[in-house]
Amino acid sequence: MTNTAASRTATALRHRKLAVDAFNEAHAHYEIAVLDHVAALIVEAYPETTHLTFDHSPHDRTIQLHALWTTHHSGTEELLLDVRQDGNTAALDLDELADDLSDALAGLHSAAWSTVRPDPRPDRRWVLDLPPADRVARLAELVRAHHPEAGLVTVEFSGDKCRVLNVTHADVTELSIDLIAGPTPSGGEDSLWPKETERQISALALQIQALPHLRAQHLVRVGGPATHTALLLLPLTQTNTRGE
Amino acid sequence: MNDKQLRPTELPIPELAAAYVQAGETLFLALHDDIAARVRLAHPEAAYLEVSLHTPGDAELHGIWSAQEPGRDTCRLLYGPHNGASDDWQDGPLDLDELVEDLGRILSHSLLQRWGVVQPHPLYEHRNRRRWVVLPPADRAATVAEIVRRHIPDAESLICRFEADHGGIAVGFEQLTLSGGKTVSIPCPRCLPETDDSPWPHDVSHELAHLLGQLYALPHLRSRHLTPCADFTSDHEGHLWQLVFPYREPDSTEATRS
Repeated sequence: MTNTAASRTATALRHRKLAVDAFNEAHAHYEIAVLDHVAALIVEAYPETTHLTFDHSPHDRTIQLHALWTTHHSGTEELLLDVRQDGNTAALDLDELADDLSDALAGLHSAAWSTVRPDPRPDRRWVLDLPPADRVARLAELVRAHHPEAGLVTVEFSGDKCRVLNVTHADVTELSIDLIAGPTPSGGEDSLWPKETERQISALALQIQALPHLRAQHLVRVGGPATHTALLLLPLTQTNTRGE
Repeated sequence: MNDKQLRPTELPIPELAAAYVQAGETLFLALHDDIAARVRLAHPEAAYLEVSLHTPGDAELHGIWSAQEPGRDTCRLLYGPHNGASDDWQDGPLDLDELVEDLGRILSHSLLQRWGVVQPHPLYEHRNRRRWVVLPPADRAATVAEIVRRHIPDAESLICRFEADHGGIAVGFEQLTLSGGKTVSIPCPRCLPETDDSPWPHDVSHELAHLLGQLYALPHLRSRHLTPCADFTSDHEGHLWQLVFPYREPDSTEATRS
C-alpha cells in the first residue's frame, strides 16, 4: 500500500513538472506571438520603424509608449512619432498597442523581454527592438558579419537565458569542419564578437526557440533530456555558394 | 532592415491565447493532483482540505478531513494544525509549509472552482472565510464508471463531447453503450430542456462533467483513458471521445451497493 502511494506521489510530481514546462512553453509562445502582432501593426503604419521606447511600471506591470524610432544606415536615430506629444494618430490604436505590449511583457521572465534593452540615454527608460521579419536570416547576418564562413551555431538554453557555445565553419564542398571556440566568460580577446552582438544573437535564438514553427525548422536539440544544447543551422546565402 | 512590406503575423493569436489558458488549467490540475498525492502519503483516507485564503497566494490550512463515513454523516479530522503537535510544519512525511504554499497557488486561481475542486464550506458559519478543497479520487476513470453504473448497472462505456471554451472545458454526454452491444443516446439538456429521458439526475451530470473534464485536461490521463471516436451526424461543436469502463462480472454482487 505504501509502495503504491509512494509511486502515485512520484507520478503526480512528474506530471506536475511536465505541466509547468508545458505552461511556460505555451506562455512564451503566446508572448512572442503578441509581440510579432504588435510589430506588424506598427510596421504597417510606420514602415521605417526599427525600435520603440517605453516606460515600464514594475508595480502594475503595464507599459507606457513613449516614441517610435527609426535607425538610418549611418547609425543615427530619427524620431518618427512621439506618442506623448501627439497621441492621436489615425493609423495606429496606441492604447491597444500599449495593452498588447503590457500583455507580452507581463512576466518578468517573459521571452519577449529578450527584445528589450535599457536605453543608453536618461529619461527614455527602455528600448524595444522590433523583431526582424525573418529571424533566422537576421541571426545568420549577425554571425557572418564576424565569421563569414559560419554554417552552424551551437547554443545552450538554460531557463530564460541563452548562451552561444561555439560557431562551426561547415564547408560542404570540401567536407571540412572547423570549430571556433565559444566566447570566454570574461569577454576576452578571443571572444567571438562584441557583447552587444552576443546579446542580439542570443535574443533571436531565444525567440526562435519560443516559436514552435521556427524551432521545428531551424533548431536541433542535442544531448539527453537534461541538457539544453541545440544546433542552429544558418541558411545558405549567395556568398556561400561558390564555384559557379 | 529594408523589409517595408507588412509582415504577415502567421500566428493565430486567439488560438495561442487559448492554448496558453489551457496549459494553465492543466498546470493547476497537476498541482492539485500533486497536493492530493502528498497529503494521501501521510493520510491515506484524506478526502478534503479545509483552507482559508487571506490575500492571493497566502493560504492557511485548518484541517485535513476524511470522507463521510457510512453510518455517520460527518467527516473525521485527520490532522489539525493546533491539535497538540509541537512541530507544526511537519506532519509525518508531509511538509506543511510546502503544502500551504501550493494551496495558495491553486486557490488564487478562479478556474478550479469550475472543476468542482473548491467547494463552499459545509458549515454555514465558516462559509465566507474558509474553503473546502476536494481531493480528486485516486482513479478518476473508475469513479466515473462507478457513478454511471449506479444509475445504469450494465453500462460498458460512455461517449462524451469535449470542447475547450475560454476558461474551461465543456463536457457533453452523447451516448452510453451497454453490455450486449446496445446503445442509449443521452439527450442534450440544452436542445431538449423538458426531457425526462436523462439516465441520471442533473447534479450527477455536474459531478460526472467535473471528473471527465479533468480526465480530458490532464494529458497523461487523456491518453490512457480516452479514445477519440469518429463523429456521427450531430450539430454540436467539439470532438467525441469514448471512456471504456473497467470490466465487471455481469452478476457481480457489487450491483447491490447503493
